[in-house]
Amino acid sequence: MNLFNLFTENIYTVILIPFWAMILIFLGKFFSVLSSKKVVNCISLSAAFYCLIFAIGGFVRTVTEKGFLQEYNIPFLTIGKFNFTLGSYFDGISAWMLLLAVIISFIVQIYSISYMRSDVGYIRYFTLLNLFNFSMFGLILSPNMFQMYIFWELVGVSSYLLIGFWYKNSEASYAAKKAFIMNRIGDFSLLSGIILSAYIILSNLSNVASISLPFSDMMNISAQIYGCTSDGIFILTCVLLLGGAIAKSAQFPLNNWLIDAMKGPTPVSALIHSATMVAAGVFLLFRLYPLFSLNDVVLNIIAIIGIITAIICSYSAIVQTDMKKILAYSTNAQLGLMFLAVGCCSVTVGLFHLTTHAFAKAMLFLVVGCVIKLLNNQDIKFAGGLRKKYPLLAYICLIGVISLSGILFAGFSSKELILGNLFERGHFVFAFIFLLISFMTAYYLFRFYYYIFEGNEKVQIENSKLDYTLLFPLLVLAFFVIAFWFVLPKTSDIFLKLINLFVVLFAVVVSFIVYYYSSYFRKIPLLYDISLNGFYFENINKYFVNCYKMFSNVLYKFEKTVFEGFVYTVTTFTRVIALVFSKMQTGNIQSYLVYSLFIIMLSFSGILIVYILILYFSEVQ
Amino acid sequence: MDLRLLIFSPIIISILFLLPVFSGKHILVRRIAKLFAGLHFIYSLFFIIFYNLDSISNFDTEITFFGEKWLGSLGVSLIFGLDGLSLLLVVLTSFLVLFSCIASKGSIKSKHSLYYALIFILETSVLGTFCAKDIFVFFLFWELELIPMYFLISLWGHDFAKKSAMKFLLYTFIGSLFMLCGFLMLYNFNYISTSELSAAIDNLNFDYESAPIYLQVVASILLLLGFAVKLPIIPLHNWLPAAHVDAPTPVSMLLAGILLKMGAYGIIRFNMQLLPDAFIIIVPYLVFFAFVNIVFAAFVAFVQTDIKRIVAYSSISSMGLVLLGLCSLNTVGITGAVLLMLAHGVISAGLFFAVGVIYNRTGTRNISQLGGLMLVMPRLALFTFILCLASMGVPLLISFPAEFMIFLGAFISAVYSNYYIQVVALVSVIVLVLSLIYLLRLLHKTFYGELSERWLKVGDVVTHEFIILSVISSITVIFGIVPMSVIIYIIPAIRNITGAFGG
Amino acid sequence: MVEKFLNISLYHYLLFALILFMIGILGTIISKNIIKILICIEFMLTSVNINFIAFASYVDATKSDGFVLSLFYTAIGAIEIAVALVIFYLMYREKKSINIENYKELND
Repeated sequence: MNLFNLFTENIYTVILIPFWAMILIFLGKFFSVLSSKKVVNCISLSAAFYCLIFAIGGFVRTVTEKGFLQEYNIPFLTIGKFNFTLGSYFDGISAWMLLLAVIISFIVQIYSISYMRSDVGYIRYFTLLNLFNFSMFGLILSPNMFQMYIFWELVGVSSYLLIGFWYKNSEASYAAKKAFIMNRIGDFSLLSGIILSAYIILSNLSNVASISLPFSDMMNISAQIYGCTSDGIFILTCVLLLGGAIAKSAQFPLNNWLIDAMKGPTPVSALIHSATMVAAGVFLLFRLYPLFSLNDVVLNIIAIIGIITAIICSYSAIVQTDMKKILAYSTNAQLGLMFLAVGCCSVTVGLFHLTTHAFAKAMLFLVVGCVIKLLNNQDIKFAGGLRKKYPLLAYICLIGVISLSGILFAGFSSKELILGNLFERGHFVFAFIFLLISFMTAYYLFRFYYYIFEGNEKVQIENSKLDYTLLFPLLVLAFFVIAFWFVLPKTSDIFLKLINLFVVLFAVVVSFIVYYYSSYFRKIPLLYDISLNGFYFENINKYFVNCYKMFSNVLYKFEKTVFEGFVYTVTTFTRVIALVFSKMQTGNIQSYLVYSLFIIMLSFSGILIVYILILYFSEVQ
Repeated sequence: MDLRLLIFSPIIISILFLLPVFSGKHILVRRIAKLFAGLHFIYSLFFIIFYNLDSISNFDTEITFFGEKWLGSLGVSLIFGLDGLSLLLVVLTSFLVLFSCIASKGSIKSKHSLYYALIFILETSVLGTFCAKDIFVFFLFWELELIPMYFLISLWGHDFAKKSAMKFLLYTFIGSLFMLCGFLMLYNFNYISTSELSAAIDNLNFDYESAPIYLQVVASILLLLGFAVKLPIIPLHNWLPAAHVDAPTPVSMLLAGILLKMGAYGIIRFNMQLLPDAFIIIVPYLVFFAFVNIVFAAFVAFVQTDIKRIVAYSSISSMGLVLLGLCSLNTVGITGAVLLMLAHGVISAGLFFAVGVIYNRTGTRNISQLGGLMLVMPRLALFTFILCLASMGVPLLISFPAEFMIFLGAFISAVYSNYYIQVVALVSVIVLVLSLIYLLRLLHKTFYGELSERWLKVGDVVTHEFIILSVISSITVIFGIVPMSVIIYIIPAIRNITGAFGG
Repeated sequence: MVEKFLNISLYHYLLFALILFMIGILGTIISKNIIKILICIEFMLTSVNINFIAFASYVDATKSDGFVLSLFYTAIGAIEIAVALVIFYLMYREKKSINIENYKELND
């Protein structure tokens, strides 16, 4: 037990170690000794390994000891009644999330070593990966909303830097920009929410000694906020806080960035844009659930946003041909389902789905990475027949697809849980839509599998050997996907199981038919276009960008005409007067005489008028 | 620790530089200048070490001439002193002068001894402004700063430097005329109330009978006009982009780093400390101006094609945030504003320098001609990224705690009715997004994308540039992680001022 | 009626001097010939002189200050003309013209 104490008491080092690793690798760039790839690998992997050990140790402690809590705080900003701290807060949820993030991050780092081997930005890549680890672990272990916000932004920054990793590619640059801006809109919302809640507590409860918005006291804080505000302000606060989660998890109004984020390196997509960072939005929901659950409207908003996202993204995934895009849409849809789970069911259900999805999706992304390595292409039309040459890869992919579709393995359990909960709580409409989404999910995932691994080879594969460092991470992830099946709780409702299985298997069959007899099917014009273009969100974005540009231009015109124009007017006025007076200097002595006479007469008449006025007024008095 | 030595040593050095001995020996001059600026900076650090946090006023000195006060018959004397606010600004000034001396290597190519002499005259006048404890001494140094700045811009600037320098001079000068009227009113209030001639800030006091509130408001507005030009507040900002763009890089660093802070410093020192009741009356209007500053400048920055202009407009936007912090009238907001002043001083100097390096290498500042520079200038790209991230308020970099405190302070401000400032603050948080958008445009158009063949042989940063950028970047990171180390100096000074506002 | 005409008061002198002064001014402004301008300036001097004499005799005839001053003026006028004519001669040598339009050097 002492050993586990060591882990839990020092859990905050999990945040610091990646930070120091980042600094070390970063500084290594400037000293040739440290800049070799081996040294970088060594630093990065040992940091990740350290985190892994501590996360496992801490997790074991939380499992064995029910209700275990460990909080550690150092002051960061102390002013007036506000006392914002940084530190770590280790409870069941954060232990679970930390374990998940650490495992996937460790695996992805191993995978990256061979995947990024020939890239010129190798050191930069690992620096940024460690920056991401630092911010993600910091986010998970946040003891209060303030730290949550700090790392919330930092994961956004590292995600931005990693999406735009290949800076020469203008698409990647555009995608990075878009991701960052959309995330920042969420940050803006989250920050406003945090400030608003701090304000509510401060202004209504004069006897509080210090305000730090800790998660350990979330129940109390929620009650305070709920107790001393009107419904409108409360919902506004919740929606502002929710805005952060919506942006980070790419939910409905801000869902577009995740698809473009796939322009980054594939391991990054696996780590950040499928398993960990995008799940941070859901994690925020877990943390703030005590607050949100006080008002049903807020929960309904969460559920509705989730289901809208899920429908839009599932539907968009159906006809995509880019492998990573299919997976991205799928990720997005699953995130929507997590929102639905949190909104309609409970935190645990959402957490389970998050976990099963994270492992399976990270695995699929890594598989796609291998396929891209082999084909040098990410269009499924050019892939095919890979199963014969790479059976292991195909089976791993199949495990992932089966799990995500909810036929077997971990995904089956978590989906079943959501469905069961929806029925139990009487959300029949949601349950029906959920089944529809399950159908679409199974359809496009199997389509994905068929196109890549079945059928005939379409492209000659040159570099035909797959490194063991590429395959080993996949095996580990596959193990987790299967293992979780046995860990997760199961519902006993046979009826639901049958319905779910029936829908999904039906989708598999449909997908199979459409794949083999594709020549018999015709594209339906409107529906196909909508799906292919992802409900035209890109165009809507472009429209907003244009509006922004136009507005800026109008303001700049205003600046030019009014402010610049004011200066121009003043100078011109001065110049005109000067010109008039200089024109008067004719040099003709007689004109000077006239001016002087004029001035003399003017002054005399002035004096006269004043004199008369004085006389007049003195007489009046 | 002698404040007189700190303030007046630069001007002595500058007189030395004007001696004919130094004409033509520009390497020697630059070395002496750097050495002196370095020593001066170290000396200013000693003031931090020996600063007594328990006392509001430290290192008070009065310069007398043979036992007589300077203009003693008018109650004016050369008194200097430091509180936490002045202390940090003094250190910032000394630091930036050192760095602009180092930065002058690449961009100043003629009249070296005159250039450094002017820089040091500028330093003396700015330090005098920050340390002065007498309104007329303050005004004297405030005006003195115009002379070197005018020549620095017009003699070594590029493009329309003469025009911009004139614009800068006229704007500031007209502003300070109003300010002088305000000071005279304060002086007069004091005379009427106490029938003693005195211009020392600590001794000024007046009652409501001799200085009715409407007269105080007039005085406050007159003072504000002078400070608003320097800050700048938006209808009076027109000199700023022109002067920043046309000035040589080290002078831009000084302009953005120090001179803009003088405006905010003046508002805190005079409008808030001396005329608190009048300030409460005009502050609701000021909040509106702050909001316009923040949003308007951010939008305008987005469509600029000149990279230096983008940075200049970002300065205006940041200064709007500072103003919002000041308008909150509580310790949290004003402390945030002061911290943002310091943060912006460092960051904008760094950004101007980075932009100057790009201009130096490529010969263009037009955003559409640049692109892909990350390939040839990876180190510059790194530092520019850090500085831009700092400028947009990313956490664990220095301006985040400042912006956070400003928003928080504005939000909890209790002096307004009808949630006026709360709504403004809530909408102003959008600046997080707006600043991101224009800075991303700057970054992406210069560093991302394909490299044009013209810039294939462009070199990365050299040693002295590397030193400047790395030190500034590490400052933004270090003080972003431990902001309290700066804040503890600010809080007592601000508490002293906010006492009049009830918190 | 005749008496009224013959009764010459101070105002008549002043009016006369004013008319003379106006003629002088108009002449100075309008004429182009330098000599004419000089003559007109003399007109103005004369009108001032008349004022002096008029005031001297009407205000206090016992004292002779006004008359003495008018004598001074006459002398000064003579000297002035002498100097002016020399200047005009030099000007004429320079440009072969005594038209004022040709002398605009002040403009440069």
